Formats: sequence, structure tokens, C-alpha cells
Amino acid sequence: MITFRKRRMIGVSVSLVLATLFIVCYRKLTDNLVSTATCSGLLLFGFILFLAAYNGRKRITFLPLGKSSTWLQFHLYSGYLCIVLFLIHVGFRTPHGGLETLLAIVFGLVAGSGIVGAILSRMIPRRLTQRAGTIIFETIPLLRRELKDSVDALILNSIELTGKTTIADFYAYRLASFFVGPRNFWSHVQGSERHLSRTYANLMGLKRYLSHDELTVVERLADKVREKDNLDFQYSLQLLLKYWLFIHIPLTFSLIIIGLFHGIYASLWT
Amino acid sequence: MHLFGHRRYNRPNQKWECGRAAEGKACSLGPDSGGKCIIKSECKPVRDANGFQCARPTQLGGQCPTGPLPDGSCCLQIPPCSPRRTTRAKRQLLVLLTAAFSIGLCFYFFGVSSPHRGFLSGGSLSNRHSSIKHQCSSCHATVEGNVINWVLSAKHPNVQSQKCLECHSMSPHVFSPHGVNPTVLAKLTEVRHGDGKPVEPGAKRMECNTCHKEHRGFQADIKTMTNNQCQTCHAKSFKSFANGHPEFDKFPFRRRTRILFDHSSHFGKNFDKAGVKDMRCQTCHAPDSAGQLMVVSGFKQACAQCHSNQIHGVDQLEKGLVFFRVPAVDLKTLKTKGINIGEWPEDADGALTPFQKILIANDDRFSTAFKQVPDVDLTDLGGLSDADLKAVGQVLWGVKSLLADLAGENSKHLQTKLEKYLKHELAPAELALLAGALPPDVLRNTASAWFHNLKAEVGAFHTGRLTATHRFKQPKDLKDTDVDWVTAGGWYRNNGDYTLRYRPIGHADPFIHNWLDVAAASYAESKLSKGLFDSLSSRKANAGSCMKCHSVDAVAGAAGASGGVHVNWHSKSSDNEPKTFDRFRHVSHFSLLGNTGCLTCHSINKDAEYEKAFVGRDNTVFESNFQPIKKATCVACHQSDRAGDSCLSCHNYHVGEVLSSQSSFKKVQTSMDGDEQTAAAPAGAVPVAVATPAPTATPTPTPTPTSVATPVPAPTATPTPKGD
Repeated sequence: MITFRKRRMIGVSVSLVLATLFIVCYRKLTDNLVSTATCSGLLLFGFILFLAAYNGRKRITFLPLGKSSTWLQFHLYSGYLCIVLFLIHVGFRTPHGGLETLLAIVFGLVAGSGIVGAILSRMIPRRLTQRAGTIIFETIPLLRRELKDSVDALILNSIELTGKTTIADFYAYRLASFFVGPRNFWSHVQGSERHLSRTYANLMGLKRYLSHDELTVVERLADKVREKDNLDFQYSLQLLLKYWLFIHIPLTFSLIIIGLFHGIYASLWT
Repeated sequence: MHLFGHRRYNRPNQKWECGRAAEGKACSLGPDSGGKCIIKSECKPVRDANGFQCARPTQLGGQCPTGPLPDGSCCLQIPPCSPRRTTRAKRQLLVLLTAAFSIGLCFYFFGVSSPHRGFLSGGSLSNRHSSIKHQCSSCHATVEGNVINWVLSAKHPNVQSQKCLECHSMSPHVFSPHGVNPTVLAKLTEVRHGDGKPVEPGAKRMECNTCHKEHRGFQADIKTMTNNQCQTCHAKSFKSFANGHPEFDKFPFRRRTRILFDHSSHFGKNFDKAGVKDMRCQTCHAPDSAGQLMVVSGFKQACAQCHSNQIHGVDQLEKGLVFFRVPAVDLKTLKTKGINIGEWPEDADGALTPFQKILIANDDRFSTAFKQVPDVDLTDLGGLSDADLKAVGQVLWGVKSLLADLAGENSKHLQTKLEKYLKHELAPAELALLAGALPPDVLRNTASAWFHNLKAEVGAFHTGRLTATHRFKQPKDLKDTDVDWVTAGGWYRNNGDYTLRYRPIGHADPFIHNWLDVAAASYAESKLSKGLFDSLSSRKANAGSCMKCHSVDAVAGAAGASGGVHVNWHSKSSDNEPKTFDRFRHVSHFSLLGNTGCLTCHSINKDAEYEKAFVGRDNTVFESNFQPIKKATCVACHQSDRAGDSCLSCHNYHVGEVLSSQSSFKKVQTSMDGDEQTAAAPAGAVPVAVATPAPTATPTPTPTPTSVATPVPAPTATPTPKGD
């Protein structure tokens, strides 16, 4: 069994060796006045196709194409090599042409989103499991709805139970919008709980005006706030985990199409 | 979280989900694959013997208490929802939209007309090429028209470099490294690095874009090369200029100076003797417009003060160039053999001049006879056969006919002979230059003074009615006239030796200058031209003394076998010097000069046998007046952390004739001007003689002084080692 650390060390080492090899070859060929544009372009395009094939691998589960985790490892380190190949292809300079600049921007977004995605894929699952267990992303709207219904019921019951509307008013003015939809996205991404502390502080401030029965309701309301915050936490992080692919995958296809066009165009014009 | 239970509608791998899923009221089936809500009631009642029965599954609550309606429809109707895309489906849609947009974008730019294809350009052109912005086909020959044409033309070989040559005039071997003939390059390598790795001639074709990478922005330097790139091909590689670069080999004095000027004798003796004071380097030298060469300021400023009289021949005993002479002839032998040459002065002296030989040899009436006895000694005809003597007689009648023709009413005689010699028709201006504006009256007076019956005699000879030899009557009371009158230049007659002479009008005399160029042009092919050139270019020549200062370089012929000559009328300049491998910008180094000025780098070599090199015509045999520049002098500054040590600081990649597009344009313009002149002049006229007889520069299209100057023979323009 290869440990994660060992696997990463092997991956990084092989990537560094290959990247060094690419750069040395590039320098050597350039010194020999050999144009590396075609060679590096074809290699880069091949790498991009290989990277894109990972998306297909995830769909084709019935063919024995190797484990998805192995593919992911190759995807990650090939992606890093791709960046080196890209720099070699553009000659370590800023592209000037419109098409080349567009390609460079698309590549940058794909590579950047890929790196961000890799980081998120490492960090978020750990944070999710550390705090609140596992919730399926698609069920969160339903859970949120049920939570809101239960809170609404709690507030209505409190009016009947205590005959006062203090909690209901507080809920209507301060908490109702909190339970309606996802909230505090960036706070959750950053790992901050300041918003929760603020809400708790407001509830604590309310306590001095409440009777014993109302205090019981507030305690339960605080639990609901905690549950909603957990839902928001799950939603925010899982949203990140899913939606970085909204940049990475579509732009990958765009990169392949424009890159292919660029290759045909360059071969015709030179 | 378990609080919420597990009764959920979860289909994240499908494209659509029920619109009420978020409310916890998702239907049992969900939308179809097209995103349409397909369920309308909780069940589809089934009909049996008892009528319609509820068919709701047990997991959804089992049979409802109300049961189906009488018409068989379910009593629990479900209002339709608006199905929503799943996250995965949204992503797929975005992929499709992005791909479609990308394809559309590509097709749009493939399809647009040429002026709008700027987006497809690899980037802005460098400032030198910015004028052809949006004119893609100026450089990309294969992509004119629409995309279909591009594909069709892609099968053609790469012609992009050829498009470069439409503006940039380069050497014939432009695709060889350095633009040098591969064979020559291999030999140059062998000469310099005999122990280096072998160079295979023609092994590599160098396209222009191998080094010149365009579309890298307006400010991009498309001419730059790295030191490593230079060293890729070179036989010996080294770390840097300071560390490993070979010592200079006689730099920059690898060839003989074009103008003979002995700095040692002038500074050490001549200037003092002539009373010339305060002579400094800049008195005669000044940087050219590019700031590179220190060109000589010209005869008028640098030399005329002392050397004008030498050109006029003031101090010479025998003044002027002999154009026509009545040669001394062995009259006794001719008389004995019965060869009648009419009247002939017994006291004539000297042989036929080269001019006479050319004109007689190109006279149809006498050419055959001349070819039979071209170099016969006319003063000793005793040993000749009767046939040769007869030919000699014909040649002597040719001499008299020539004089009669020149003195005649029709100037066509001279023109016809010259045209036959030059093998092309002469424009009036050319004829005037080659005739030296010879006044007809001078010829007529000469003819009548020397031969009293010349016209009658010659007429009789040509009509075959020649009967008797007239006795020659010595001209009386004829003075050796005009010699002083033409001190400033012109024609005069010397009756004492029966010669018609020309005295140069000054420096760059057009008559002598043009005849030297004409003779040099056919030096290798024509014995007559060789004779004329050798006569005029002799350092002892008493007319003009051109070769006292102007050196003559041997030039290899077409096959490198028979050699021609080239007169170096001008000192080294960027106009007459094909680009060499080396370059040095003098102006950039002026601020580094010490108290000794130019002598900081150029120290005089007093022991050098400078003038000895000018005896021959091999310009590589040379010992300069100055000590060669030492590498150490340059290394003092040219290091990577100081003034830089890039190869291109001191070396050119392209050598030979290299013109920028601007220069090429000038060349085209010149060519067009030439065409206009040619159109005015008879076809085939040689521009050399059309050149204005200005006292200074007279550009000539004579063979370039190349091959012999190089260490190896080559018929084409090859880099010449640096000289003056």
C-alpha cells in the first residue's frame, strides 16, 4: 500500500524530472535554432486531450480503464506539466496576438481553476467531515425547507404556549430571512463563525426580556440556528466543490476547440 | 442530520429533477429525459370486473379511500411542476454552450475577409514591418483568399522566406548559413579551425524565420541572437568573449587598403618635408553616417594640396597619355619586299598604342591582318614571312586609315570601332567620355601636318589604285605645340615623336577613369583590354598616375580560373564594402580615447613594408602601417557585466550584399532610373560609361573585388576580410 505522502513524493519527483527535461530540451533546441513551436504545441495538445479524457473516464465506468483515483493522480501531475509545456510553447513570453491571447487566457483559467480545484478537493472534504458529518448536496434544499417549517411551527407554538410575541417578533425581524435560503457563503468558505456568534449574541440579549417558558423556546431556537448554520456550511463548501468544475470543464472544451483551430491555422500560415 | 430522515427524491445523475423536490413533495416518477413533467395523478387506476380500482403503490400510501373517479381517472390529481436541471445537467449545458460559442468564434474568424483577420495574427509586427500590418499575404504566400484556398495551397512547399526576399535583397546563398556559399563557408572554417569539427556544405537550409521571429510586438527586436545560438554551429565553442574567444587575426587589417597611403612615411617624413603642419587623424578621417567606419574624406581635402601636380604631370619629363602614334617601322625591309605603305616618316619612334591596337583590331578592314601580327615588332621586320609582311603592311595602312577616319567629316568611324570593341551600342554620352571630347580640328591638323597626302593615299589604298610610294616630306616649322597650354588638361600634338597626347584634367579624370574601367571589365577575356589596362595602370604611367594611390585587385573569373581586375577607386566605405563578419562602431568608442587619441588603439608599425604589398594584385598579401588590434584591448570593457559580450556586438550574421528593405527600395529606384537611361540609350549600353564625368565618385558595375580577397577562391560575393 502506497501512502499518500509517498505517492505525492513520487508524483512531484516525476513531474519535476519531466519538467526539467522539457525545459532543457527546449533550451537546447532553441540554441540550435530549431523551432519548438510545432513540437511543443502538439505535445501540449496531447496533454490537454489526456487531461480532458479524465472527465470521460468518470462517465465510462463499465470499461476497465484503471482506477479513477489513479487517473486523478495522472490528471493532477499532467496538469502541472501542462503549465510548463504551455510556457515552453509560448517561449516564456506574453502572447501578443488576439487569438493567442485568448488561448492563453482560457488556458490560464483552466489551469488556475484546476489548481484551485485540486486545493479545494484536498481541503473541503476534511473540513466537511470535521464539522458536521455528510449531507448529500442535492438534499440540502429539502432539509432547509423542513428546518424552516419546523422553526415556523416552533414559533407559532411558543405564542400559544406563552401568550407573548416577543420571540415571534424577534424571529420575524431578525431570523426569518436566515432560514429561508443559504446564507453567509463567504464566512463558511473562510471558516469563520462570527456570523453565528452574532446571532447567538442577539438571542442571549433577548433572554433578559423572556419568561421561563420563552427561554425554553429560545434554547430550541438556538439549536435550530445551529442546524441551519451547519446546512449553510455544507451547502457553501459543497457548492465550491462542485462549481469550480463549472469553470474548469467548459473552458477545457473551449481550450481544445480553439487550440485545435490555432494548430490548423498555424500550420497553414507558416 | 439524521433528524431529517431519508425519504428523499435524489437523482443527481439524471438531467432533470422534480420541481417540488425542494418542498419535499417530489412525485414518484420525476420528469422525463426531456425535462417535462409526466405525472398527472398519484396512480393510474386499473379496470377489473368491479370497475376501476386504485393502483397507488403501497410505498406511496397504498389504495386511497376515495378510489378512482367514475370515468376511471385518479381522484388525486397532481398539478404539473416545472422540472429543474440537476447540477450535472447545468454543467453539461454550460459545456455545450461554451463549445458552441468557441466553434462559432473560430468559424467566424476563419470566414471573415482579410482586413479583419487581425485577431488571428500572432501579434503585432515589429516596428520595421509595421507598414505591412494587415497585409498578411505580403509574407504568408500560402494564405491568400479564403480558407479553402489556404487548405489547397498548403500542399505547396514553404515559400515564406522567398516572400522576404521580395523586399530584402540578399546574397544568392541566402539560405546557407551566413548567406555564404556553403563550399566557401566550409573552406573558411577549415582555414580558421583546421582541427575543428567538419562542416558539411549545404547541410542545413536556414529559413529567415529560423532567427527572425515576427509577431512579437511592436518593440520586439527580431534580429537578436543569443551567444549560445551563435555557438551552435561554430567549430569551436567557448564560454565568453573574455574566456575562450580566439585571439584576433590581424584585425582589422586582413586585406590591403584600397588606397595606398603610407602613414609611416607621411607622418614621419612627407608632411614635414612639404611643410604641412598640425596633421591629425581627423584631418583626413571622419566617421560615416552610421558611425562605424572612419572613412577618408577624399582627394580634394586629404591629398590635393600635395599631389595635384603629379596628376597633371607637371614634373614629368614626358607629359600626357599617348593616344595615337605614328610608330617606327622597318621601312627598309618593307621596301625590299615591295610592301607599299605610302609615305611614312623615317624618324618616327615608338610602337602602336593600346588605343590604336583596339581601334585597328575592331576595324573590319584590318582586323584579319591585325590578328595575324598582333604583337609584331614593327622596327624589325626582317624575319617575317611574306604573308606576315603583307599583314604588317595592312596594319600600317590601318594606322593611316584610322587617322584619316578620325580626321574625317564623319564621327561614326570611331563610334563603330568602339561599339564593336565594347560589344554594345554607344550612347552619345558614352562616346563623348571614351573619346575624351577629342576636338576634330586637332585630328585634322595632325593629319595634315604629318601626312600631306593622307586622304588621297588612304583613298587610293582602299580603291586598289595605289601605284607608287610617295616620299615622306618632313614637316617644317612645326612646333611641339600646346604642351604648356594644356597643363590643366586636354589634347595636344607632339610633332617630335608623331604622337597625339592627352593630359588629365585633374583627379578622377573621366577619360582615363572610364578607359580603365572599360579595360578592367574585359581584362580577363581580351588581350587588347589587358594591354590597355596594364599600360594605363602601370605605376610608371606618365598620365594621371592613378595607380600611385589606387590599388588594383585581382578578381577571379567565372570559373575561378582566368582572373580579372578591379580598380579600387574609393577607399573603404559602407557603399563599396559587402558586409563582413566583423563590425565596429567607431563613434561609440570615441569617449574611451586617451590623450593619444586614435593612437590609443591604432599604434603605427614603423617596420611594416607597407608599399611592398601594392606591387602585386593579391589584396590579401598585406602588411599594415598599424599594429593589429589586440583582443585584450576590447576585453577590458566587453565583458558580460560591463559593456556586454554578445556575439552580435562585434559580428554580423549576414555577410556579403545585404540590403534592408529601404536600401532595396533605393536599389529598385536606381534600377528604374537605369532603365530610363537605358531606354534613352541604345540597348545594351554599359552604365559605367554613362556615369557623369564628375571629378570624384564614379560608381561602376565592374566585378566586385571579392574572391581573391578571401582566403579561398569563389566566383560569388563572399565576405572580404577587413581592410583600410
